[in-house]
Amino acid sequence: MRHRKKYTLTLFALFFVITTGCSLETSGESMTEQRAQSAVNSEIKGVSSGILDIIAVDGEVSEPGPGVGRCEEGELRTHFLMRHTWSLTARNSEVLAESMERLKAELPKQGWEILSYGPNNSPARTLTLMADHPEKKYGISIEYWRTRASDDAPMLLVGVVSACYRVPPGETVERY
Amino acid sequence: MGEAQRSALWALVDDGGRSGHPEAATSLASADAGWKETGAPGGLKSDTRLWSGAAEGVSALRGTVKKAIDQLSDGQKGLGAGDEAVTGLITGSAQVGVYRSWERYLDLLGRECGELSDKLRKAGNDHYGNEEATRAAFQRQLTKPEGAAGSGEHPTTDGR
Amino acid sequence: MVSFATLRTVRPAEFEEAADGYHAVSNAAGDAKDRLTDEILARALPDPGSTTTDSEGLVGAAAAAARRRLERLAESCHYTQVECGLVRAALNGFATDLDAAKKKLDGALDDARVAGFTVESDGSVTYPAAGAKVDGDIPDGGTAVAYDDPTAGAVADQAARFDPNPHRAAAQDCANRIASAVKEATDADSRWAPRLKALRAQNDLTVSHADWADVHRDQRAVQKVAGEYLDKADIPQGRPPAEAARWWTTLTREQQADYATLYPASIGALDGLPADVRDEANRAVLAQTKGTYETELAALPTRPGRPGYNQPGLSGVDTWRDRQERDNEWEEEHGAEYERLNDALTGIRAIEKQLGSAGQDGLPESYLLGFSGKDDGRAVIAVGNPDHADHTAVYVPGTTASLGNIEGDIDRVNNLWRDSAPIVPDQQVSTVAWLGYDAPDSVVRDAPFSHYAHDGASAFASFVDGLKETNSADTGGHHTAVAHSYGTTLVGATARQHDLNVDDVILAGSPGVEVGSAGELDVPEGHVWNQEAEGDPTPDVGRWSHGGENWEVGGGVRLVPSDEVFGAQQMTTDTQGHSDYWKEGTQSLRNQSFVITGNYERVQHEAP
Repeated sequence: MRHRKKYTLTLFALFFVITTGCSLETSGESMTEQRAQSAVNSEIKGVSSGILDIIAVDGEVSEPGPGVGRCEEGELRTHFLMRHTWSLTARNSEVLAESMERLKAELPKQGWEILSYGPNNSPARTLTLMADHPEKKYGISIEYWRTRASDDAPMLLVGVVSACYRVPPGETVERY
Repeated sequence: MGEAQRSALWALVDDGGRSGHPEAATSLASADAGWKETGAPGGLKSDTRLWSGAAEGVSALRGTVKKAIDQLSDGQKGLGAGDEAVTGLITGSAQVGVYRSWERYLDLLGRECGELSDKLRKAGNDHYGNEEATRAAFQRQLTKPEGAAGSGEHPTTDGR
Repeated sequence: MVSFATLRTVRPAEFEEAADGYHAVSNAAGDAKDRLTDEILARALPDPGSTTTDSEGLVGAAAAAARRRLERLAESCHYTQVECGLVRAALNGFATDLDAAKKKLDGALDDARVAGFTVESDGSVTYPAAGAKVDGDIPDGGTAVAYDDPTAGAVADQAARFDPNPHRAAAQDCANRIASAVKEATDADSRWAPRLKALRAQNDLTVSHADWADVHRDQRAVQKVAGEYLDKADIPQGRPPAEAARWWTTLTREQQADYATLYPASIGALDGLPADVRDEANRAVLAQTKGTYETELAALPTRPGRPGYNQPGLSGVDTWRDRQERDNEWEEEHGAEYERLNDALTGIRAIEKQLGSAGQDGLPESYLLGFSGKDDGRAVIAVGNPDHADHTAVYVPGTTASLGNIEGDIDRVNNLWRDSAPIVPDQQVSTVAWLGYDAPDSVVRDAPFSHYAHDGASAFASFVDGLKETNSADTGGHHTAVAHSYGTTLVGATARQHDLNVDDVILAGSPGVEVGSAGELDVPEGHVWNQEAEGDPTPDVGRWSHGGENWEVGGGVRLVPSDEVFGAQQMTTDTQGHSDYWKEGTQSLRNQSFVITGNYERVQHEAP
C-alpha cells in the first residue's frame, strides 16, 4: 500500500517538475544524500572546532560531543542528522561579547552565510547569531549569555546541526 | 588562545592521544573512515596502544576472577565432602556439586581471559603480521571446557 | 531425612559463610561485566556500526573478531552475577530455615538437661525414677519416644499424662519437640536441595537465550521456597515512595541484595528505591525476559514460505492457493504472538543498546528504572543518574508509544540530555524516558478514551515522587515534566487526580490536558510551557483540530494549552533567519533545554 502511494507521489512530482520546471524538493529516499554516520560525526566536530578557533577565548568548553537526531522526514531507521551543542564559559563577559563581533566578521570568510544577528525573542533578548553553510550543509546558532542561571557565569552557547542524511543501504542508524 | 580551552574540543576531534595537531584535525574533518588503514600519522601507534590497553584490562579481569575463586573457596569451610553438613544434609551435598561446578566455570572464564589478553597483547605487538592472521587468531578457540563434551548446557532443575 | 545427630552438630552459619563466597563472586562478576562493556569494549573495540568517531577504537575484521569474544565474555559475567546471586539467596534461605529448626532443638535439649534427663543418640529422652511411691516402690524411670504417626503419638502423650512418674510427661514433651525440630530441618532440607541443584554453573562459554530462560525459571523456583526468609509480601508495592525508601533502609545489606536477586521485577519497579538498585534489578529482568521471548519465538513453527506464483510441474500437487491457505492459517494461529514477541524484542534490543552506550561522545551512564514485557510493555530509562541530578526531565511520550517503538523515545531523551548538559557544565542533568503506562494503541480508536490517562496518572505521580525522594543534589533537585501529544493529557490527569510533584511542565502538541488553565497543573505561575507539535512524523498530527474539544470549562468553553486564555507560556518553534538546517525540531529542543535547566529568561516565545 505504502509503496503504491510513493510511486504515485513520485510520478506526480515528476509530472509537476516537468510541466512547471520548478525544483520540487521531495523527501523521497532518492533525494536525501547518502553518507556514513562516522563521516558526519567527524565533520561536525571539525565545524565546532573551527568556530572555537574564531572565538579564541580562554575558558572552559563543555565536554559532551555530538549526538544523532531525527530528521523532519524519512524513516527513523534510515535517516539521521547530527547535532552538537556546547558551551564556552569564560571569566569575564567582555571577551565573549567581543568574540560575537569577531564571529560575525570571520564566519562569512569561511563560507558561512549570516542569517541573523541581534536580540532574539526571549525575555532576555539574547544576542544570537544564526548562520548556514550552504556548501558543507550545516546550520549554527550562537547565543551570548552575559549570565546564566546556575552560577551567573558568562558563556557562549553554540548549537551546530547538520543536514539530513541517509545511511548506506542495508544499514540502520545508530543513535546515541 | 589558551591551550586548556582548546583541548576539550580537540580531544573530541583527535583520538585523545595525538593531542592538538591542527593539520591532523582539519584533515580528519573531511577524511573518510578509511584514513586509519592508510597509515596516517600516529595511526599505527594508537592502534598498538588500544590493543595493549585492552590486553591489560582483560588481564586485570583474570586477577578479579582469581580473587573471586579464592573468596568462594574460603566460604566452603565446614562444607567439605566429609563434613557433617554434607553427609547429613542433602542440601549440603547438593552445595558441593554446585560449588564444584562454579569452580570449574570460573576457571574456564579465567582461562578465556588469559587466552584473550595474550592474543590482544600479541595483536598490539604486531605479532600476527596482518589483519587476516589476527582475525584468525581471535577466531581460534583454544580455551575449552573441561569434562565431557556436550556437558555445556545450563542444567535444568530436577523435580520441577 | 535429617538425623537428630546431624541437627545437633551442624552449624547453619557455615551455609551463610558459603553464601558470602557466592556473593563475592556475584559482585566481582558484575564489576567485570561493567569494566568489559564500559571501559575495555567502549574504548578499544566499539561496535562495528559504531559511528561516534572514526578516530576512536580499533576497526576491521580482527577487531570485530576480538570484540565478539569479549562481548561473549561480558555476557558470561552477567550470567555469573545473576546466577551466583541466586545461589547466595538460596543458601541464606536454607541457613535461616535450618537455624530456626536448630533453635527449637536447642531449646528442647536445654530443657531436658535442666530437668536432669538424658537425651539418647536417636532423640529419645530418658528420665529417672521419681514420684510418690506406688505399692511401696518409686515409679520407674523410662525413655520417652516421639512417634511419626499421630495416633501413636496421641496414645503416648496420654500414657505420659497418667504415669505416676511426673517426669514422663515432661520427657515426652521434650522428645516431641526434638522430633518436631528434626522434621522441620528435614522439610527445609528437602525443599532447598533441588532448587540449589538447579543453580549449578553451565560448562561452556556461550550464554544462550535458553540459558537466560533457565535463569528465569531458577529464580522463580527459588522464590517459591524463599517464603519465610524473604517474604515477597513484605515488599511495599503500591505504597508511597517515602515508605518504600524507609523500608529499604531497615534492611541489612544482605537482605537488600537478596531481595533484589529474588524479586528483581518488584524491586526494579519500586518507586523510592535508589536508581542504581532499580537499574541492576531491571537489567536482570531484561536479560531474562529477552531469553524467554527468544526461546518462545524460536519455538513458534516457521512461517510457510510466502506463496508465489505457480511453478511448472508442481501445480498438480500444491497450488499457490494451498500455500496461501497455509500461510493464512499460520497467520491466524501464530501471527499475533509472533508480532508481540518481535515487537518486544525490538524494544529490548534498543534498550540494551542504550544501556551499553555510556561514554559514546560523552553520553553518561543510563539507568533502567522500569521494565516489563507484559501487555504493550513498559520501560523507564534515565540518561544520567537522576538521584544525583540537579536538573531532571521526565519525558512522557504519546500515542503509539510502546516497547517496540521505544527507540524513538530513547532518541528524544539522548537529544534532550545533549542539549541541556552543556548549559550547566557545573551541574548534573538526567533525562528520563517514561513509558510507564498503556499508551493508546490507535490514534483513531483509543486516544479519546481518557481512562488510559487516568490509569497512568497514579503511576506517573508515584514515579515522580520517587525521583524526588531519592534525589540528593545539593541544589535540592529541579524537576521538569516534558510531555508530547497524548502524554500531555496524562500529565494533566495526574495534576487533576493526584499531586504533580514537578517544578516545570512542558506541553508539546497537546490535544487537551483535562484542565482549563495552567494554574491547575500544580506548578507555580509561569511554569507551564506550551509549544505546537513539531514537524515530527507523528501519526496523530491530524487529531489536533478536534482533540481539544473533549474538555469543557465553565460555560462550555473548551480550552487547550495553546489558547492564550489557558495561561501557559507559549514557546516558539519558529527560527529566525529561516535556516535550511536549524529547523523546528532543533529549536524546540533548545527551548525545552532552557526550561529544564532553569534558564527561563532565555526561552524564545511566540511572537505576540
